[in-house]
Amino acid sequence: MVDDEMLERQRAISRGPAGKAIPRCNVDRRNFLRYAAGSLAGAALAGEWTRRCLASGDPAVAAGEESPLLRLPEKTELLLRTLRPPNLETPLRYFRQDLTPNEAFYVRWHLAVLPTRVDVAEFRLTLGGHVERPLSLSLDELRRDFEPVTLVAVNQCSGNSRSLYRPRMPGVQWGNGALGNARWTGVRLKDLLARAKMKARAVDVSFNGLDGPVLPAAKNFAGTPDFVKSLKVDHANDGEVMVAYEMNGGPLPMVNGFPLRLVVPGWYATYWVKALNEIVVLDKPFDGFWMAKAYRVPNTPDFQEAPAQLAKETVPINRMSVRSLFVRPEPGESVAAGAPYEVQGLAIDGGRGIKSVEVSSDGGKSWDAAKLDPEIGRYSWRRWRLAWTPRRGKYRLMAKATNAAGQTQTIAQWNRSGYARNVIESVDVTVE
Amino acid sequence: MKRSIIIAACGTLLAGMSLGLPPAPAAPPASRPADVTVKGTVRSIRLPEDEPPLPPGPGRETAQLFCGTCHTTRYITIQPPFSRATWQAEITKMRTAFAAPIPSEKDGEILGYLVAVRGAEPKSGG
Repeated sequence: MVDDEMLERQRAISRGPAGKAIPRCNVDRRNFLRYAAGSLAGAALAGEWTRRCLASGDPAVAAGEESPLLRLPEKTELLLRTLRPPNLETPLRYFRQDLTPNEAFYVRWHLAVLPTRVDVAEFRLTLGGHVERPLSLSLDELRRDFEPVTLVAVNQCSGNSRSLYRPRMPGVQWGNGALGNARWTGVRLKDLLARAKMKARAVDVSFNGLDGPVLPAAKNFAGTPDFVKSLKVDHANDGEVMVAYEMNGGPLPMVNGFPLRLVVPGWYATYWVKALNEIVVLDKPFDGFWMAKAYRVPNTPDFQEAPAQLAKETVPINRMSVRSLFVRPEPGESVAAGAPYEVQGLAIDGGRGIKSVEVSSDGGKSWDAAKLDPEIGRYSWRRWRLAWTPRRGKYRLMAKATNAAGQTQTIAQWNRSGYARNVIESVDVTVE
Repeated sequence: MKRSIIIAACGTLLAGMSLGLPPAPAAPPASRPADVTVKGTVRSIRLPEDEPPLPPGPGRETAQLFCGTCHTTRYITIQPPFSRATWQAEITKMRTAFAAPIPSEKDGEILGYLVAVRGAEPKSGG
């Protein structure tokens, strides 16, 4: 599926022409809209402002870093981090609804040769290795021969919010938008494993997609490790892990993993392998680079370690930590004094379910319980709201979520890769 | 024969979501681009290309060549300032973990460039 022409084109990009970045926004929205309202071209100008200022809710922009917007095929304009491979972030305001539209869902690839062309008649998902009956399934067979299941689940990059860590660390400098909530439809991995008849003493199950490195392994050349992930066999076989062929009722966008994506509810998105085409059951632990060396976290509470004293023991990142986000107001937003304002946000955990969200407007001295929206499902995010009528002044709002297991958010956190952030959230607001 | 699939776009739904409160920032017009090509059973897209040149500095061409082989050099320019030690660790990681064919005698030149454009004193770098 990954043809030579595509590979050559990817390589050519490294020598390609200079592109144009949209300058980041440094215009106050209220002043701009006041100006635009008096203009015949007001609507068009407001559109222009929106185009330029989507980045205003972006912490990296608050830190003075560039955040151009870019539209990929099948997508709307997203915050560009990198384009080869594509890594683009969802603007915060898309999180003011239960499900994240496919076109606004963030994009994250590790390796620059990614599928841009799929023949849906030729495509096969293979399931082999330590099984009695290896499978090679067409997309039609997947839909026809297995019971469909549907689940709403949050997908969050392990490194979401990395740019908020201090001291900072190298990597894609995500703000809060490497995140999305979608309704996934597909087949249970358990049903596929049953059809293939796993042999006794299976240990791990590995997952590979159509993407690959620019410099793959060759004779006398180790190559860049292909992106392959694994789950323990009991997890893979728990009836919840899914091979999804639909996202929010439609096909997955190509850059979100068309035609199939692994869905691992409650776990960080590194396991949600995109363009999934190869599943292998193993009778020994999987030792590929992306499990054994990358995407590892300190084996400590809240995955904590200190820059001067790195944890000796690390484990593969796994279930998502409890966290909350503000989606309204956005960073730097001005709020009118003396008027009722609805603060909004969302909360996430690894599947136990959010029990409460508390919000403070006085630096953590007192906390008010936010009103939780109805629960959509164990693995969905939970949105929340709080009525607020502030007086003039500068505020730092804080939010803290707690789940049904009593797990909550931490005050300070750091780890070397900037993973699994679950620090109590804060946003600065000017009320005038 | 080529035909285009128009992807259902939900972005416009956002525009009316203020719930009787002060208006939220408007969503941009939903894009409905004919940007997926379906030819027979083959579905394909074409990714845009946007590769800004690295900022000027000693060693820029060397950094472009060795860093830009596998990934965009935006990976450099999106980073905050880091210490010399952090940047050296990145070069080493690219060579040892990701098999980047960077001869070790090029390290100094690449490191010099990275520190020149995104360098920091050791304490603030990490």
